[in-house]
Amino acid sequence: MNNLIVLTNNPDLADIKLEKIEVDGDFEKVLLRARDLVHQGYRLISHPLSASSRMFLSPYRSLLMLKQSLPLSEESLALVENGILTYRTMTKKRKPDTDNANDYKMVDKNLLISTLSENMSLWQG
Amino acid sequence: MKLELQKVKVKDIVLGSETSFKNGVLTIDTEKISGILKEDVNISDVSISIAKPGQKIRIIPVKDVIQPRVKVKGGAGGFPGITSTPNRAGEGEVKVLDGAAIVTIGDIVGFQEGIIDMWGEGAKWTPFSKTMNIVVDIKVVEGLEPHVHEKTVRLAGLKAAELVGAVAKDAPHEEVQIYEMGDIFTETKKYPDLPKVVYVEMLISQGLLHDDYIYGVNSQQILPTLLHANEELDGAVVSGNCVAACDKITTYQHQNNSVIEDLYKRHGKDINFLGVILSPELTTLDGKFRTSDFTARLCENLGADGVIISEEGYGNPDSDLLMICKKLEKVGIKTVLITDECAGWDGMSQPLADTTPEAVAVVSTGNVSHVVKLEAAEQVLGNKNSIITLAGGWEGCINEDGSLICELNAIIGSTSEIGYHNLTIDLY
Repeated sequence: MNNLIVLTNNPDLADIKLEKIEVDGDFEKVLLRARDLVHQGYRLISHPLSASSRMFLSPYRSLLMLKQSLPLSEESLALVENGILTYRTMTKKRKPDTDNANDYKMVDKNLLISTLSENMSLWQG
Repeated sequence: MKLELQKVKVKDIVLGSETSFKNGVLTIDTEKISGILKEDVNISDVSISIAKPGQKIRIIPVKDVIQPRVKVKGGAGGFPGITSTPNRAGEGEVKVLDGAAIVTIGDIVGFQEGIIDMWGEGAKWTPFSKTMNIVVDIKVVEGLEPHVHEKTVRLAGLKAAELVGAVAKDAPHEEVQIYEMGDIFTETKKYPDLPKVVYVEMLISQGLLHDDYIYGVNSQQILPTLLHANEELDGAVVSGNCVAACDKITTYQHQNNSVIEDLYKRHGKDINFLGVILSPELTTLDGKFRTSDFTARLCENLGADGVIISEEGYGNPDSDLLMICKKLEKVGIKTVLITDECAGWDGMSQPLADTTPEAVAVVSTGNVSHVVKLEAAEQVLGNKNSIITLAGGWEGCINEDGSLICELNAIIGSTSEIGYHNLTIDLY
């Protein structure tokens, strides 16, 4: 799909040949940018949150979105708003784990590649 | 299908010159077992220690926990599709070293977490403070790609469980548990008036360190699948989940799945337990729509009256849980959800990352944010630096006396979403 984009703050994705929107900031900034894009008509492909409580402490987050200008997707909006709320609850007292930044970059990238492999029609090279 | 688990009670574990079992004492030949595990060229070193209930030992970071067993009749045994040839799990006679567990440790990534404390406050929160643990620390060769590293440690743990389990082959057992259930039609003929109940077990299926395996197949690659309940109890499901200590389902917990155990006890009494649907938790929304649709359709086609759904993990899987609930309730199938929650230190925040009005019967297995204080250990098996990582990085989380404060999400099995843990609920 030529309107698939990666929204990310992970600097190690140079070999992922997809259009990227790079976020200068932390995990929460990526979620907030995702919300902005949803308001502009973009749609979420991957869920905004990860699947384990440990990954909430990752400084890095990469999301797949569809670049489009359609009416607001209420479903995407609800997901990203709940995602922001959940992220803030999980990390209220916890700081992102920057000591293990390189490992988080690597896992974030691998999880992104796995996400792409869930539906090969997303990945047209 | 009939599965007979013959429980061989382990009263003590000691180190010795030959791995054996006699008069309740399990002896471990660490050198021999290490040597066999190091036949895998990816492994550079193995060290094995014992940790018993009450000892001031901390095990960290835990990768997996596996129950040592050996099949003595009726099949190839092992973990079909992984350590043994593909074959049907769920029948035959199996000797179980009851009271012992293999615990694998060794960082694949620096942020890996999972504590088992064998004493004190920490012991209250993990079910594996009650098992006598054979702790296997696996070091791999340099430069191993992360997927290969995880697979190497996973396979070594399963192999260790088989090597230790083998000594139970001729050992006398004190207790027998029988799991016997025919096919769905036979059982429904026997119990035509009992409500038909399906158990949907969600499995984390999202990639590196977030994987599970069904007969050796990565669950990210499957559609929701119906299993006979015996199959999971007999090694069909293996954990590759390394990043959510509190609610990862360890292989040991799959082998002893509490929801399956409890439904089995009630089968033929007040329910007709139809079986287990394993439902992968995918990352994409389309993947979640697909698996929740398929799961609901399978339940409908089986004629389920009620479905119990358990989750694995926290965050995006909350959406899968609620999608399945909504789709079942909309076609008149009653649901009960089992999940942990992230409700903040005071327990007052929205507990799940998603909501739906159809979710009216929800069992909470605990608040992953609940804070506990753990005393300093006399001995740490594993990586001492992990203690700083998991403690959370906030002011005052590690004290001068070595005690630390951490959230329950760092403790293995503390909020187990299949109910294999120490927490209970109050009934009003």
